[in-house]
Formats: sequence, structure tokens, C-alpha cells
Amino acid sequence: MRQFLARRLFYSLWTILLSSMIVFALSRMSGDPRLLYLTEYSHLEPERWEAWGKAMGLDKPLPVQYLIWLGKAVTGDWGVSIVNGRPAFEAVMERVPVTMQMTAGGFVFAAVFGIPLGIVSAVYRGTLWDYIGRTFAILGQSLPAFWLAIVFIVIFSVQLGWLPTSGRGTIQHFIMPSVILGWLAAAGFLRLTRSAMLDVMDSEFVKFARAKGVGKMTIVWKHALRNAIIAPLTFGGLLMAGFATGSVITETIFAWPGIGVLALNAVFNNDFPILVGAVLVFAVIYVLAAFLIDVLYAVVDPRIRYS
Amino acid sequence: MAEQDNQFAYVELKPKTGILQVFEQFRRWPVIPVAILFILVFAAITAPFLAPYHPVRGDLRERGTPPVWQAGGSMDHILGTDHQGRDILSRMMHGARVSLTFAAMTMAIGVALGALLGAVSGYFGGHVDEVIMRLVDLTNALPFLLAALVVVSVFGASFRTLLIILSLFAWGGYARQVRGEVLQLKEMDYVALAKVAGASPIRIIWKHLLPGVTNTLIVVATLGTGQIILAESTLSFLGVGIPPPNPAWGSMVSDGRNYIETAWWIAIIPGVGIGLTVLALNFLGDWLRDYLDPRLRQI
Repeated sequence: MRQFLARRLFYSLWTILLSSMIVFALSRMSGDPRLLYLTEYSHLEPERWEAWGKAMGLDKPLPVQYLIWLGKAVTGDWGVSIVNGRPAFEAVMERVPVTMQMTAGGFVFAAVFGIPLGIVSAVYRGTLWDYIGRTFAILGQSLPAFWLAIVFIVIFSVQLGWLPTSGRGTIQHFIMPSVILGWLAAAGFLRLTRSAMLDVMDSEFVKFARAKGVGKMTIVWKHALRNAIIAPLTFGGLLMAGFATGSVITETIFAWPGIGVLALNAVFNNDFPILVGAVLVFAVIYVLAAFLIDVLYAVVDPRIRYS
Repeated sequence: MAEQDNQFAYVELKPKTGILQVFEQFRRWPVIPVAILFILVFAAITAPFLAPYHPVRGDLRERGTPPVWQAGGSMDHILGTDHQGRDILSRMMHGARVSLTFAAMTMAIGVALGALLGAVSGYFGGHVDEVIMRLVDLTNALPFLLAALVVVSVFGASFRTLLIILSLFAWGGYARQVRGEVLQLKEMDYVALAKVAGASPIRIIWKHLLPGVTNTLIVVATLGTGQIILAESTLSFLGVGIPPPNPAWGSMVSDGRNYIETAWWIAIIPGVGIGLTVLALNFLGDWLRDYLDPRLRQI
């Protein structure tokens, strides 16, 4: 168990480190960083130009520059926003709760719809329930989330007037963003739960239980479900990457002031410090979340720990 | 014994007739997905000749015309016009051209990279395998959208930038599949014999292993093209994808966002195009998987 945890943790940290390297490399590829951070004409003053270079460590070799940059990033010194001069760390961190609320909503929807539908469509394989479940899954995997969000707004806000179009505050504000963000994950949950259920239902010990005369519902609840319900935990990393992408879209459409919107606006405003901060926070949150899911999986399923 | 035989008597299979037979064919062959994709490719190829209007220049007097089935619609603009008076059908035809070209190119690069790296990884194993698989993990764990945002902010949004980002993210999944297949294939006797006969690793991979994974590649490429279309349209929707004024489906949906209360069709109709295309590709991919290799049959 300890070895498993160490290995997973190592991979998670490695992923975060590698993403930071990529971000750093990209930021240097865009040219002299002074061009980004100094105002347009200030490089005409050579002393100031040089002083900035020294202060930012630009006179040192690239790997050293990276270490300096990383050291600053770890201690929370992310520079200031080019647009309004606020410290990037502050501007990004204050938005973390918003994004996490939305992700939690999406996750709850995915779990509450995906897993039971997966079970039902496996138990009643080939019936209407199965058909409904699989339609739900293939729609979630095929329809673009941003378009679904707009369709939902047209139907439930504009036509029916049931739900608010955007913003946050009440529980109604949570419904559409959670469904939109969670649908893709729900589709994944459904497919994994369904195939795991079908596998277990086909296994020797279930056949034996059936031969013994155990009732169908008891088999489903006591024998099959316990084995199949952990299946959705197998794709923690993929799931979280999906949530990160999805939250940028849902935040944009439903006007939630989260990190996703912040990052997108930073692209449009050329506000590089904010963009880098937002992307790194995203990477850390989602890689750690994926790590926690993996740990949970190992706790629930001993086969993982010892393989 | 005779009684037992009766228990397992065959149900007589009657040949199906009429409407049932048609239905049966629809179940057996992916008629609808192939038809959708065929229409789409046709529209994309013929857009410059058949599209009734110019995709970028609109007629402001005609702006906000609803589609033909809605009150106020006319046959001049079957799918209506957008807020700048541009014909939505024409824009969608040209958009199909952009999106499909993009998806096909990205998929080609992604599949080529994935097949090659996956085969190398599976065949050589050891450190090579370890390095390539960690890179694959990275393409899975990193959210492509965030990477795309950083790259776009550095290099600017363009067809080529997008092509590079998305193919860098696409190859990982293909590589993993190919690696899995190659791990099995390389244990086959014919590969060992080729090795004994003195074939170089390059020859073995190219001549003996890659042909064996063609089926897998066809399936993952079909499913992957749908994913690429989704990714590209998402980026275009957010304004960091294929730059305007090129008519991309994603940016057409984005154009219509501000008009959903008065003119829903501007945003909704282009999205139907994306949805149908990806649905068709997903159905076709699932069907191909069952058809080419029943062993892989999943749910």
C-alpha cells in the first residue's frame, strides 16, 4: 500500500512539474519576457531594461532561470496582473472556491445519474432501460457541451422560464451548470459501471449463487454491485482532465467567476502572469484530485494495492 | 434423451419480410451514420459551387431571417440567416469544409505518431517503453483546453497552431492501443521467425507488426476524429480556435449566443451539425469495432 501511494504521488508530482516546465518553456518561447512585463517603450531606456533583466534572472542559463521561476511560483510570487496590477496569486486564489463548487456539482450529477443508470442498464440488458441508458451515454459523449448549455438555456430559461440563465447564488443556479459539466463524466461512469456489472454478472461466483437459488435482487445488490461500483473510480485522471476542460466552458456560458473564465480572459487581454497562475492552479487541483481518486480506489479495491 | 432434446428444440427462424427486413438491415449496417457523413463530405467538397450565398459577406437587410419552417422564414434562406445577414446553410457548408479538413489532418498526424510510437514502445519495451508511456500519461492527465489556452496566448490562434496542439494531444490514446496490440503480436511465431531470418527492428515493425494493428487503428481513428471535431469546435466557440472570419461551426454557435432570446437558430443550428457529425462518427466507430474485431466488443 505504501509503495503504491508513493508511486502514485510521484507520478502526480511529476505531472505537475512537467506541466510547469511546459508552461515555462512556452513563456520563454514567446520572446524576451521583458517585452511582456514592461510597458511598450520602456526598453528604450537601456539601464532600466538591464536592471529588469538582472532582477528577473535573465542573465543566467535557462535551467537556472526555470529554477528561479519555480521557486517564486512555489512561494506564491506569481508577479502582478498586467491589466490591473493586482498580485496574480491573490487574483487566482480568490476564484478557486467558485470553480470547486461547480466541479462538485458536476461530480454529484455524474455520480447520481451515471452509476445507477449503468447498473440498471446492465441488469435489464436489452430492454428499454438499457436503451435509455446507452442513449444518455452516447449523447453525453457526442454533443458539444457548449451547445447543450445553450439548448438548455433556450428551453429552460427562455421558453419555460424555470431556471436562471446565468450567475450564482441559489440552488437553481446550480442545476444547469452541474448537468452540463457532469454529463460527459456521467456517460463515462455509466459505460464503466455497466460493463463492470455485466462482467461480474457473468462470473463464476454469481453463477454459483444463482444455481444455489439466490434471488435476482440479492445477487444484484450483494454480489454484483459491490464489485462493479468501484469501476468508475478507475479513470480518475481522465475524469479530472475532462472536468478542467468542462469548467472553462460552463463558467464562460453561465457567467461563474471561476478560474476558467479568468484564464480565458487572460488570453484575450494578453495577461500572461494571470494565465500562467490559473493554468498551474488548475493543474495542481486536478492532478491532486486524480491522485485522491486513485488512493480511494486502492483503499476500496485490494487488488490494486498488490498488483 | 428424447425429452431433453425437445427442451433445446430450435426456434424456427422465419425469414423477415417487408418493413421488418428493412429495419433489420438498419440494425446490421450503419446506414444512417454513413449517410450523414457522406452528405457532410459532399457538402464540404461542393461548398464553393453549391452553397447559395457567400459564407462571410452577409446582406444586413436580411439579418435574423428565421429558418423556413418558422413563421417569417423563406425558401431563400432555408436555415435562416444570422445577425449579420449571412446565410446559415452556406456558412455551415463552408464550415464543414474547415472543420473536416482540420479533423482529417489532425487525425492523420495523430494516428501516424500514435501508431509509430505505440509500436516502438511495445516492441522495444524497457526504458523506451517507460518514457513513451509516461508521455502518454501526460497527454491524458493534462487538460488539452488549458494547454491550448497557453499556446494560443503565446503564438496566437491559427489553423496551424491548433493543428499542432490537438495532434500532440491526440496521439497518446492511439499509442496506448497500438502498444497493447503489439505486445500480443510480437509474441507470435512469425515475428520470431522474422527475427531469426535477420529482419531489422524497423522492418519487423513496419512489415510485420503495423499491418496487424490496422483494424485497431481504423476504429480509434474513427472515434478519435469525433473527439477532434468536438475539441476544435470547443476552442472555436471560446474564441481561441480557428480565427474569424473563417466559418467554423463552433464560432457560429458563439456568434448566436447573444441572440438566443430573439433568434435561437443562429446558435442552435450549427451545433446540430457538430452533434450529428460526432454522433455519426461515434456510432460508426462502435460498429466498426464490433465488425472488425468481435473480441473487442465492449458494452
